[in-house]
Amino acid sequence: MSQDPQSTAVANAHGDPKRMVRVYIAIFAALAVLTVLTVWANSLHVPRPAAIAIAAGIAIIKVCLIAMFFMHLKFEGKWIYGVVALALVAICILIFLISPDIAGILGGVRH
Amino acid sequence: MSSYSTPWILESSDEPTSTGVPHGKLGMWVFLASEVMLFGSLISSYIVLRLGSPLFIVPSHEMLSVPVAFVNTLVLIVSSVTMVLALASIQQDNPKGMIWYLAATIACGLIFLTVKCWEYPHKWHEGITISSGLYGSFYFTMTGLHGIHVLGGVLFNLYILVRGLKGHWSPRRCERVEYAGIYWHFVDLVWVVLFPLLYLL
Repeated sequence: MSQDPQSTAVANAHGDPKRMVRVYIAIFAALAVLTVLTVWANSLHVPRPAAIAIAAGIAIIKVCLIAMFFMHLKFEGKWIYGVVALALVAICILIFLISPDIAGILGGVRH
Repeated sequence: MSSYSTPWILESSDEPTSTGVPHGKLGMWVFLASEVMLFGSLISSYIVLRLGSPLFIVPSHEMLSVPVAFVNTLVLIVSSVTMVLALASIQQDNPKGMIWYLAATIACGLIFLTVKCWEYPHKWHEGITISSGLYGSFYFTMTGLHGIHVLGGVLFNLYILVRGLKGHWSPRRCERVEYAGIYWHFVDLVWVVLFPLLYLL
């Protein structure tokens, strides 16, 4: 049972591996259920805005679960968070850039 | 909490870094940030054209083979959990477990690509091609680009597997297993967004 201090430190950096295995399995189950839920919700033929909101909401939850637990973002520090924040800012800029187009389209503006 | 203060990062990487983060890990995250922008620009273009163009005609669910894409999504999710279990195995000094989980991850990646290779001719038969309209252009560009990333991930994992078979990895030296995992989970993450976008909505 004796582990050298360094390998124990490796384990602690991402949490205790034995405990983390249970977390990984739980995240996997959640991802599978959410995928089934996405397809099931889509088959209900709900109004389009609601269908988009449901699918986008589930996708965001799945992305967060994968990033936080599988990619170990939950255990990272400021440098990695900084890089991720940079990417998210770029995505926000892309969304803000297209928002006038979307607003125009939804408002019925046509050229 | 930050893991930078823990000594293992400095000891397990080749040399100390000024950030406290191994160069490989920081490099992988910077690379993935650029990938986020690449896929983000394609997705935002898709949204604008989908909402704004009267020429954007989305094929029916039958033509899109939604059940096949659904199974493929589950395959990628399974591959993500086997990848993270491979890392957990080597962290627990279980190289055999790591090799089996890595092999399963590679197999899942190959299954995903095989299904895509079956799906593309099926789409062509249905009249959906890269030049048949806006949907076809986006579908083949985004899934093709994602497929190339899956292939890259399979090759990266193969490299890790071959080195693992030679006994290269240990709890003290498993950084690259982690980097390969981060990349592979990103590939899964992109598909989680593409699946509802291209097949369901």
